[in-house]
Amino acid sequence: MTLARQLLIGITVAFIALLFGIEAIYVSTARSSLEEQLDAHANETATSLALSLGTRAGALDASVVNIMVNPVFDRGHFESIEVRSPGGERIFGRSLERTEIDVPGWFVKLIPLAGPTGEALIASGWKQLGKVVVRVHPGYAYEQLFKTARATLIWLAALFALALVGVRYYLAGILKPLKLIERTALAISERNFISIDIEPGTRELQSVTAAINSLSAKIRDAIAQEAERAERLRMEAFEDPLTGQLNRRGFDQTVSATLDDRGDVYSGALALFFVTDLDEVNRVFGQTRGTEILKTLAATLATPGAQGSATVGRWQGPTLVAFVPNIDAKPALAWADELCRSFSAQLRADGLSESAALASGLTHFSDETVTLAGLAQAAEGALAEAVKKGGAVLASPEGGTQGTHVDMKQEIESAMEADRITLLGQKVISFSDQDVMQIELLCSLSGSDGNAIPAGTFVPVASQHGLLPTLDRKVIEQTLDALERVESLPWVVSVNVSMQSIGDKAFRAVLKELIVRKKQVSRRLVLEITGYAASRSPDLTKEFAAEVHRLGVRVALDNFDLDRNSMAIVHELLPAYIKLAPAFTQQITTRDDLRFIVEAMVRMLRPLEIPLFAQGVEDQAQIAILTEIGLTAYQGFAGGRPEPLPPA
Amino acid sequence: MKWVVAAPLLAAAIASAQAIVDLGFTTKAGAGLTALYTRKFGPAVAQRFQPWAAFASDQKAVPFSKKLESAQGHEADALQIVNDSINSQIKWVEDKVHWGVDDYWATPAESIASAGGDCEDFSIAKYYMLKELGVPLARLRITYVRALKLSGQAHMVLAYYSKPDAEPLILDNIDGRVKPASQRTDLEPIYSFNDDEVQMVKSGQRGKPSQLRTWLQVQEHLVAESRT
Repeated sequence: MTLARQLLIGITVAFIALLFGIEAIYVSTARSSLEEQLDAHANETATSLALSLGTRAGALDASVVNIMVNPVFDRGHFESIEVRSPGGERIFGRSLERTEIDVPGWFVKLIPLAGPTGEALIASGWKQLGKVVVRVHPGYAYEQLFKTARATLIWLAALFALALVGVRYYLAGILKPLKLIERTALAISERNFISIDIEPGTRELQSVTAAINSLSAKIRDAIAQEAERAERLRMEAFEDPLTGQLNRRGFDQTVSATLDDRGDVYSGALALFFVTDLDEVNRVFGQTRGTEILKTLAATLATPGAQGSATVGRWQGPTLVAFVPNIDAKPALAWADELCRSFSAQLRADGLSESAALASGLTHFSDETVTLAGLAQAAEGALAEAVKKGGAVLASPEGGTQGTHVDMKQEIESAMEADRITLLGQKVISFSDQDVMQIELLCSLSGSDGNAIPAGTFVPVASQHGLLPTLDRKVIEQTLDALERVESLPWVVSVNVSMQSIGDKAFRAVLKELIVRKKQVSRRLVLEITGYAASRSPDLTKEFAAEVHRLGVRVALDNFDLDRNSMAIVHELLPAYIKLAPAFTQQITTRDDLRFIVEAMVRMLRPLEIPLFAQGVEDQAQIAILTEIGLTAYQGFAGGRPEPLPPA
Repeated sequence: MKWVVAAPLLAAAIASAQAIVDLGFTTKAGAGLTALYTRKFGPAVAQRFQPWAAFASDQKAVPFSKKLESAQGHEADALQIVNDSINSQIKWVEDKVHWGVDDYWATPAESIASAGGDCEDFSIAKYYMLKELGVPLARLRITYVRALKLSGQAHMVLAYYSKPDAEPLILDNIDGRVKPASQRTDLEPIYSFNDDEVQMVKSGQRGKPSQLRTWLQVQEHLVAESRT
């Protein structure tokens, strides 16, 4: 119940109590004064009758008494007037038949108002003639009392109602700042560290406002500081100061992480770029000229265009590299070739000799599993050729398993139709107490021959052919089912969702319906989106997260790589947790600068209440360091391989 | 109308005095009262209380009430004793001189202790004395009269009715002899009352036969005296 309502109820109760109290006092007072009046009336009447009867006759006789008493009786409100002899016998009497008093019975019962008796002695000279006994009828008094009591009650009630309305508005005014304070407090508890910008009039509210603002500002500042530091450290570690793009380490890390996310990257090209005879340029025109050229080249590569948006880095010395996701081989080659020609022409125009030209060696992959190393080797080979020939040269990657494209699509479709989808669970273990915190469910397809199809194989194919929404839906269906059936599952269960599915309207609708239908278990579900996908489509990610959040399902980021865009989305998305890309886990044991970055991230995320998990953890040494750094939990072979779920 | 307001309060006081049936009796003048009035009226108070109390106890020993009952036709003699006793103990003084106010009705103890009072004080003292001696209240009337010999001045006497319709005997301080009313042609009766409060309240009916402000004040004072 709100404060205003509580206060109002309290005041109303007090008012009502007051109302009845005042009414009771009034009635009591009125009754006393009425009783006094009745007393007086009785005695005055008795006295005056006694005096007049005394002077009138030497003896009392019924007819004389009758004549004298009647007018008096008829004038007032008497129940009876009696004249008695000195011995006590009744000489004369008149009494009123009990008339109905126009007053409710409960009122008469509640308030006793007895008709008093007045007496006076009748004497003629020294002779005692008898006495007059007058009894007053309280009926009239009752009517008076009832009428005035009722009127008073009505007036009091009206007055109080009016006062209550006044109080209500007064309260509303005073408590208005409280609403805003409450809203801010709720926002802060939702990890949105805003400030209250009004100045309340009440001292207590002022203090609370100041305290909340100060606290919120401190946390905001702390987060900003750590974010800044993390960003700084990241730049130091992963950025090439000359070109402003990634350095070799950064590029390796980012692209490795990207290659792990085959759901969103189903094909791609790795292209190396080299300006021939750059040393000559340096010698002739000075180091700065060479630097200028590299900078320009880097900027050109990074500019998004028909090829999409590339990840650009400094490969080695003067060699630059670009990774273009989701592109076919032909367009990739065309792009690289065109770039070489126009760039070389520009060099010519700037007055450089023929020998200074841009050459590019690139390689392409689509469905097959690839590693960066494999791609790099092929690209370097292609570059060597390009330097000799000029322009761009395309080579196929080495060490990749070539799967027949069309067959794979069919295999996947048939597996989905026949429900040859199995869920495997990999545990997420907490560093502090080695307990199973949650479990990630991964899907495994088996082909028509009964053998499992590697995820590295079917995911990119499914992605390329837009089959991911269907697959993701089936996985989620099975997950919710498992949550209902399998009692031994940890409370929190996560599954991956691709950006392709998120962007699919039908998928979203079905997902919503599924969640609502399985309301009981769906609140245990966490949907993981890769950091790469989230930073590429931040608005869609946020929209999706808000939508499922309303239904009680949380969103988290996995395969998280540290780049500028990823950091930004963390603040806006506020995911349930973040899983760092395996590349981090591999490198963090050897490289201190990486460790500092992650520590800064941990500190930044703490007030936001976002735990950091490590992926791909393989041995105890890694576990020890990661615990020190302050991560919350880990996933990987050290914690257990993905295993089939236990039966119901 | 002041007494209209005072009356209910008094009724309450008197109702609580139900148990105090000996209001105004000599037996009520204890050490506390003596001390109080000594402070007010001087050291002679104790000496004055003594014969007053002794008289009452002596008469009760007789017993006075029986003597009065059986004195058929000669009640005047019995009553004379009381009249003489009280008349001798109080000197006639005007209220203005004695009490400093125009009209003050003193309790018997006050009148005896101060050895002074005016006509109503005499009557009150005699009234309570007779009540203490066991005379039924119904027979007593405190009566307002006009003293024709004193140019129609207002005066008060105590009247005793042996029977309700009998001719009363007058206990007076102007003329100390107890005579039948017919022989007191110098007195013109105006109004009489007695105090049946205790009986009235006992029977549960409200209403006081004597609503006189002054009489009610006397009751108040008697109750106050009984508390010392």
